Amino acid sequence: MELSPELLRKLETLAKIRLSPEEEALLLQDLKRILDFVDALPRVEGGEAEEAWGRLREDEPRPSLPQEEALALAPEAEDGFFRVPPVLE
Amino acid sequence: MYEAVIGLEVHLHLKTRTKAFCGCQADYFGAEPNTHVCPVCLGLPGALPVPNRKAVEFGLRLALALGSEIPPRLVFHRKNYFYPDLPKNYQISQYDLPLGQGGSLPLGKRAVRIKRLHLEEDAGKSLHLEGRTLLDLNRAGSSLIELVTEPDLKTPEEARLFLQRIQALVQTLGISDASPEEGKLRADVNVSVRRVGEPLGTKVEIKNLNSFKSVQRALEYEIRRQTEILRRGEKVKQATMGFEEGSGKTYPMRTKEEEADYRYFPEPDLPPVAIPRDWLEEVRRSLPELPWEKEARYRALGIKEKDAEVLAYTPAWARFFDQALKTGLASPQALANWLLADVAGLLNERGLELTQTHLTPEGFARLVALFEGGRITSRVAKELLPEVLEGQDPEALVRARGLGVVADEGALKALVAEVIAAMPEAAESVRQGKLKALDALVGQVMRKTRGQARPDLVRRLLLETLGVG
Ligand SMILES: [Zn+2]
Repeated sequence: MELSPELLRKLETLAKIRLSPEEEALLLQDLKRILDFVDALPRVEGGEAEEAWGRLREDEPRPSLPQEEALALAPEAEDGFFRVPPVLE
Repeated sequence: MYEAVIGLEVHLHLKTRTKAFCGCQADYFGAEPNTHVCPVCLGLPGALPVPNRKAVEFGLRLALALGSEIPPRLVFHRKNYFYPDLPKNYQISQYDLPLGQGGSLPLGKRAVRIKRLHLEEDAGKSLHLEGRTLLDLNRAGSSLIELVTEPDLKTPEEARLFLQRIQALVQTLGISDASPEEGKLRADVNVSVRRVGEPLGTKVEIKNLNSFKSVQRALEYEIRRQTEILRRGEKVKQATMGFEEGSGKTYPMRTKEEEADYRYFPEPDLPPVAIPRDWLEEVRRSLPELPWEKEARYRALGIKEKDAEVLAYTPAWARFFDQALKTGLASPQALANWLLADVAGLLNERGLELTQTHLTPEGFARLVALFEGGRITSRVAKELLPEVLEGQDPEALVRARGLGVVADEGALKALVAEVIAAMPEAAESVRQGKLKALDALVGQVMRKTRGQARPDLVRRLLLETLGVG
């Protein structure tokens, strides 16, 4: 798969990250290697690959986290809410 | 001549006990913020989602009711975007293999085609305050169905009607309360305007409409706006709009992200789940009578078209009506008349819902039966209705107050003779064919029965006695 600098920059925009030119060059190489690796997978000879099947869960309530515990993981909280920088819309 | 082309995207909150992919209780109404959250719906690393069987079953019920095609397996995708109320930075949704594809919903003589319906999870709620945004993630991960129609709707009125039909359907199926006021039914609309016979115009999307009325108003405004643009010979710009309730106007929102930007990919945490055909059959067998089937049954019972439609698409009333029917005490149309005219009128006057009264289907049927059997007049039945609404037994009321119709012809004949004797001039006029004079005689007999006789019977007896007719 072709990974152009343009595509990388589009991904940067979508992922809301900004990379320096050095980082871009590095990441371009890394990502290419990752994609080549994935491309190689279909060529692997193996036995019958068994398809993984998921399962469903019964609609039975389980305990949620206590509020303090949920919020303890957040950088900022206020009155039981997670607090984040202002979102404009 | 211009015409509008409208499509709808409806989000329905499912009535499951737990969220879509975790065991947190889905009913968080009135709960403190962030008390219905767990590692799965908070998107904490290492937490694994497991789909809720009930949510899938509810989706299947809707898909089967609409006649959609159901795939042999359930596949989820990630829809990637950034917004603080979406803790994982992606929404678990469905993409190229939705739970239902195709199908239709009857609307009058037509059918509105369904494009697809799929399962997904809801986001949390944001509270925008001065200099910060607060997040409550109790709703995050709740189970939703998104239903998308083909652009088959033509007027704002039709769009509103479609939403009411979907609401009635999912309430009948028992899968969603679908109450817009509680945010359990949310709609986005797509609308374009074109000259009749020409290709489709540019589509504008109006998002987050939270009542049927705002759907209709937003569409009315937007269709006018687009028509004016086209009349001036200009072009409509593709846009995502919001709707302001106060001014009744639509306004442009952020530009729509391209679909590719959501970077959909198969959800690696959720391997496909088989949907065995025998499960489908089981769900199909468990479907209740659908509103349009109800409508057809009511029509077959001889109920008027409009009445059958209103009853069938008002689930609470249909339930009540069916129970009243089952008593076998009164005729279907009489029950429908009394329910839709008198009971509805009284409820409307008092601002009550049927379920907020003590009116029982049996009590109601007995009241209608008293009238239909000629034992009370319609005036008396109407008078008694408020008390029957409060749970009183109509027969007991009639007995206790002596309100029964004098239907005993013998007793009435005696009164008729009395009145004729007392009003010889009027009687003579009627004998000579001056039927105007009859009213005075009927009125007098009615007075003697304290209004409890049937006027048509009194009339007939008077004419017979006077040898006229
Ligand atoms: Zn949870």
